[in-house]
Amino acid sequence: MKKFLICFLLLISLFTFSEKIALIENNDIIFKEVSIDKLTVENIFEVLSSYSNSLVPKNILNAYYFVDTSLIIDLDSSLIRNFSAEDEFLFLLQILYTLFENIQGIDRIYIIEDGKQTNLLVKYINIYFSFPKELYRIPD
Amino acid sequence: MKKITILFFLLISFTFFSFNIIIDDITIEASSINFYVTKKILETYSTLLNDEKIAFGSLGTFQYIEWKDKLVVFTKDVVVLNDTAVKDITFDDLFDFFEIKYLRKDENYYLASMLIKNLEDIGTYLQIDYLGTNSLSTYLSNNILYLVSKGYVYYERLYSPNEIIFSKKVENTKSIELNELPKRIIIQLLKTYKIESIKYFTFNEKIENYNSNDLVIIFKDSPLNYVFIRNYSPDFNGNDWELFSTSNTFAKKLSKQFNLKLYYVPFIQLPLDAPGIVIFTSSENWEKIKDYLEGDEK
Repeated sequence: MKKFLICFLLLISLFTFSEKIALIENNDIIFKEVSIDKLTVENIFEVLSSYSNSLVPKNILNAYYFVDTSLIIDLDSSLIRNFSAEDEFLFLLQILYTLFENIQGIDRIYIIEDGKQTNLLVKYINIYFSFPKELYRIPD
Repeated sequence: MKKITILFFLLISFTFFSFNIIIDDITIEASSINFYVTKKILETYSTLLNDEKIAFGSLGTFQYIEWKDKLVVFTKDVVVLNDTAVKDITFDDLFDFFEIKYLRKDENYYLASMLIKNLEDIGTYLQIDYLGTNSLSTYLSNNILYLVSKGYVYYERLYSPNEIIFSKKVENTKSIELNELPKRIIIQLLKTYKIESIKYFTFNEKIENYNSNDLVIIFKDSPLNYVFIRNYSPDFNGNDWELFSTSNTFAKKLSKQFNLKLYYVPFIQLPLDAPGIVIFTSSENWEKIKDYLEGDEK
């Protein structure tokens, strides 16, 4: 009986998801618990782009860098150039919430595009300045 | 005696033709213009500006330097600037050819150590995009903000040290804060925001004719129900907190009253120098929101 209980608990722990990511539902951000093998920036983008209810396109991440407590992500602007204003803010929030939740040791994120610091994410959102972790925490 | 006289004249002529090229705190001494001197000057200058690097090399008996789509070739007798052969080239010719901004004072050439590409006045912010080193200082006097050159600064013309480059009248400004980013300086005029009136705009409208004591409301006709304010940024070391906090107070009230979800998104329409809110909601709700805000303001 004891062995069975241990096996059962082990089985449960295997199916317990611990990471939260931001996805889209009814034009709003929702949070979903998933399992991510290795919490790297690359993997997180891959996971985000694997969901149909996500605005994160595949291969959007050109590169990323850590500088002190900052994470700098370099995106491919050609993959988001047709976004509407709604798509643009939802995409931004998806990235910020998910990265701040899952990447430890950072307190700000800078977004650059095609290797350069730029003013606009697509057409409506200013990304020249960094985003602080405090405003993009996934609620418990 | 004859030898001494010749040596004396040689020394005089050497001194006469010796120039100092001054690039920020680096001085390059040169008595003639040749490949090595030109290379040294352009390398030093392009490094200071953090601009395009020079390319150089040899072809047979020629030596060339290419910088910013301009080619200078050194032969035994002449210097060729793109396609034009120049005999007895001067530093003035060389700097003009490369469009380098300089000031000549006797044997000294002072090259602009800061090139201001754009100076944008955004109300309580000044945004300066530049190449080179930050050679500006600021001060407030009698409600006027002054930008003063500390070195040789080019902005529409070349300024020598201690010249006023820009001034503007400012009101209710407690102090000035400088934020330095790569190739950009943000000068903030720190104010206390006191909402005196509300200005309304639509999402695609140009946001203008407001002041820092206005609350700027930007409506977007949308089936969604969201309220957005600009996030504060760690880049401003807390100096944008007051603007954020003022906008946040109004946004939270609207969020609660009209069941609008609040997010922190720096829409480009939101002013950097006045509290502002973007609201995505059906146009049918706009009047109700306006009535609520006007009531709240009173």
